[in-house]
Amino acid sequence: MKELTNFQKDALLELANIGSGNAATALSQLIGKDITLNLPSVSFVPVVKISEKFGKGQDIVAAVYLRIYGEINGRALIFFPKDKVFPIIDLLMKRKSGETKELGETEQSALKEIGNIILSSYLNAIAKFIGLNSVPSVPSLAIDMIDAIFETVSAEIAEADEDALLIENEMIEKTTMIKSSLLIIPDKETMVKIIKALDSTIKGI
Amino acid sequence: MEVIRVNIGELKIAKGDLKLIAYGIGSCVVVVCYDKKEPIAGMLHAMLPERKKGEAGNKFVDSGIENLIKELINLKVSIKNMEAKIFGGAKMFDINFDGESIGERNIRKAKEVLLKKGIKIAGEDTGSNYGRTIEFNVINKTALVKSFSAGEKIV
Repeated sequence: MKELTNFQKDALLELANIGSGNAATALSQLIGKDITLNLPSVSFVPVVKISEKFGKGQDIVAAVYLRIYGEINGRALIFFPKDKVFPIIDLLMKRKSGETKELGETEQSALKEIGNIILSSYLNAIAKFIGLNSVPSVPSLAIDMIDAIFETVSAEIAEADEDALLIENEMIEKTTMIKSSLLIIPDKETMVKIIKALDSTIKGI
Repeated sequence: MEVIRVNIGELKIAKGDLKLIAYGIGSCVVVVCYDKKEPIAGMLHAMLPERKKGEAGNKFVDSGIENLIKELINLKVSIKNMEAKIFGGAKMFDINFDGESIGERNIRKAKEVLLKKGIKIAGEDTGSNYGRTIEFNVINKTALVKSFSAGEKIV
């Protein structure tokens, strides 16, 4: 499969809307603030080009990386710019603004937990929509240059596939301008499964 | 000094007053091979340890290093005048889902291939858990390794 048809793209965007809507609600409840969702995007990209999509490669981000297991197999990344990490933890742990000053074990766990909760909400919404159940793995964390992080994820994908399906969403908390990006990368076999399930779900409506 | 950028899966050769740079490498490995005396060097930015069936190329450490050496030989560098420096192969995430990390396998493969070819590894900054940007100076044959969490060092 080299390209997505318009129907497939639209169906995947619908899926992304549903998943991210749920994820945004979850994030909103976690940090007690309203979250704005930008429009999702779906693209099919050669694995070696994934890093390039996220531009400004030297920027530092905190990235939570999880595998997805079950009827959907794949990977997910939730990342925030580094300078928003402390504010997010302040909100999450109900601390005073500016109170978090270092990323110790507690803070790292909190970040991983955000990733876990956001992704679980996303996957649950998808399960309800197209009937494919899945769960996230234990989350892992990296805080480093975007390029280095994406390159590492790309390498893992490249062992199996030439191209990757990227489903992206951006969530923004407007008062602190905390931007959180969510990236879902289903495995190739899963991609076929998802598209079939979307087909029958949408046609069945 | 003019700069030549080497992205994932690329191999670039430089002659003279130039710098070869690879930005933000994580689990990927950067192999620099150079002439000990002349200002000639090549940089490989490889992603996976072994070439796949039916494929060869610079995104794999094994075929990439072979290509790198071939290109230097084409520029009349003899193997006995070649030296190498290797960088990268980090384990970026604190939990590994697949056993030995890709980074570790990349480093091992690079060392194995260079050893087989009889090319000495004159310096390295590999492994650990941080991303690196490598700036290799073709004239003085040293690399400036920059990272977010581990400062800067010269190799």
